Amino acid sequence: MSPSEAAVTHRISDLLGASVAARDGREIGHVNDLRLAPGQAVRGVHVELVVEGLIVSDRHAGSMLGYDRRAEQGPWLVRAVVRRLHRNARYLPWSAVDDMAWTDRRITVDADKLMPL
Amino acid sequence: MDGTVAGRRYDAALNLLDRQIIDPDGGLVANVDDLELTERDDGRLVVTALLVGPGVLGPRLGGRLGHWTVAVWRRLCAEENPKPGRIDAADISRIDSGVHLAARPDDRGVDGLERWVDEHLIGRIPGATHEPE
Amino acid sequence: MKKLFAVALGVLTAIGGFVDIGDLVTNAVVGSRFGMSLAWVVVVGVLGICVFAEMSGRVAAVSGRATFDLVRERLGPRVGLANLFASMAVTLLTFTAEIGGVALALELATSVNELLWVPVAGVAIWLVLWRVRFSEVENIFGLMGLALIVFAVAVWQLGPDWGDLWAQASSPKPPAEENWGTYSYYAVALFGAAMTPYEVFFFSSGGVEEHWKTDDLATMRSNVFVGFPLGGMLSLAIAASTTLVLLPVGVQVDTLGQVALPVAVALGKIGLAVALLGFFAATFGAACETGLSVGYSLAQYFGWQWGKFVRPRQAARFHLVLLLSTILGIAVLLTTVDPIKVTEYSVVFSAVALPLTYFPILVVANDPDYMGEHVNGRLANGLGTVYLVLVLVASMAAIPLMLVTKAGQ
Repeated sequence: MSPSEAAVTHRISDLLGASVAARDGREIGHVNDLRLAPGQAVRGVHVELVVEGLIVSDRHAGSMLGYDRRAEQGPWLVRAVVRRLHRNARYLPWSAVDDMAWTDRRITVDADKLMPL
Repeated sequence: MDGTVAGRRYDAALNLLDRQIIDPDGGLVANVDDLELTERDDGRLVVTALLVGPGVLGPRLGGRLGHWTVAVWRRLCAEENPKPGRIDAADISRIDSGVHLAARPDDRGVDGLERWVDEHLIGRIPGATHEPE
Repeated sequence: MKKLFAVALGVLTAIGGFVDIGDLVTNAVVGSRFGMSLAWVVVVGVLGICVFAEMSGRVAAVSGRATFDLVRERLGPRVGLANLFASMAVTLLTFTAEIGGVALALELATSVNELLWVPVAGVAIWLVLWRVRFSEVENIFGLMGLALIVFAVAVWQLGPDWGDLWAQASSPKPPAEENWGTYSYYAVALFGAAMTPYEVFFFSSGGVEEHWKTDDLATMRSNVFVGFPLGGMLSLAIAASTTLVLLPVGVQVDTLGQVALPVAVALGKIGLAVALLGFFAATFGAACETGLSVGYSLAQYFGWQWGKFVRPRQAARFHLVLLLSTILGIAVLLTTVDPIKVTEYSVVFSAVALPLTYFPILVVANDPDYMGEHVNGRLANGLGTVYLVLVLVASMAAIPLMLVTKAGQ
């Protein structure tokens, strides 16, 4: 069940924290998380998970602790603080990714496609 | 972002990474220390495996501690170029507060330390096979 | 009927198991120096532990995940590791203090030197962790700990001026011989003693050990909301007893014997014997809890199989951690360090470590993926937020206060 020799494998830890830049070189931020969606093929029991987008934030580290996914998750104080820290977090669909330089940990994207979370 | 297409969406770092891996009998296997992504022909990335062990956790700890962890792990592994413990994504049955597997992992890289401690230390103390209930 | 019995047993063991060496020593010291003027801290601390124990117990019952699972997955491996180091250090310190407490209780009972009892106590604790069933450990030492009710009896027997005690408790300021510095320092120490971090590790992991499900939420809540406050009243009784007997003559508490002195004064030899039984039960039970908590935290961070609900061979790394922790605790105590001093440091450092554990619990208790319909309601979130702020304040104030007052001089 291992991937064939031809397939290229990476680790998600190489992608998380990678720097994200626009086509003109402007720094947008860093990869905070990856959105996974069900893919077409069924692998084993669970449906295959495909990376469908990136969550990009200008804060290098720091989990969003789940407050990005749900609008009203409590408690209020923690949500307010996390949201403030990550107020510039945006979502970028995978289609907007131009190039992924794995060794430099640098992604070039079409910045026009950035969306609110 | 949620629910426009049928099927559950996950955030990889939030819902998968650092979660407890649980085998079909409810036994605890390891934590998800890293995820293996494979490039498909169309350039999309697919989650193909869960990775466990100091070899993959080390780099995530970063800095000198991270390097040292990986170095110690390489030393202790029997093989020349050790591979991290790998559980194929096809073996995942369910994802909730933990990652549940449909089959017990057979990669020795996953539970090598546990087996060693069991064989050489704990297993030798009288009462080690004592049933709990 | 069986259900009622189970609920009653749970409440009784919660009461008897509430007090540990940190509570014994800190409350006795505070009573002998500050009277009842710090009683409000015990009330605040007990309410706090109730709020967070209920949350962590609910998370364990609904999701099957214990506290340290949550720490790494919410904070990430790096911050989680720092958290692990800090929490383990404090819990190991507390474990050492508890083993020392057992040895001191045995010394008081037999006049055989504490140092000779240290290895005996350590080995006995390890054997219990190795072989005795989890629920038996909880029940036996929890029920035996009810012997500490003798302190409440002693207070009653001493025939105090209740009005005077109440007046002290309701004027929260330092008495003449103390100052605001030492008052604040001991407030933080009492807070740390009441809200020990290991308690939530232990409570949630214990819930998983006992296979709690959503049906068990009601029983869990009765243990917490009835058992813990009554256990907290034992803490207040200990403080009141030294207030009545030691404060008027200016005797400060330095030894475990002095903690028992008021009971001896009020109830004589029999009272003293009951008190010593209570000390033994409280410290031995807490030693088992803290020892297990060291194993729980480390195993949960790495994802190892843990727990007494599986055969030791199936949780080999976990049991190795228990064994090494016990050896370490014995070794530290054999350097002839005073277990009372170790206890005093452990409660202050507990206060420092509190936010590390409480913050992830509060976040996860709100996560619907984890909790389904059992997410925090308004009250839990309201209290949880207030206490999060309180533990942050206590955590930041602890070390400066310790330095400024030279640990409460």
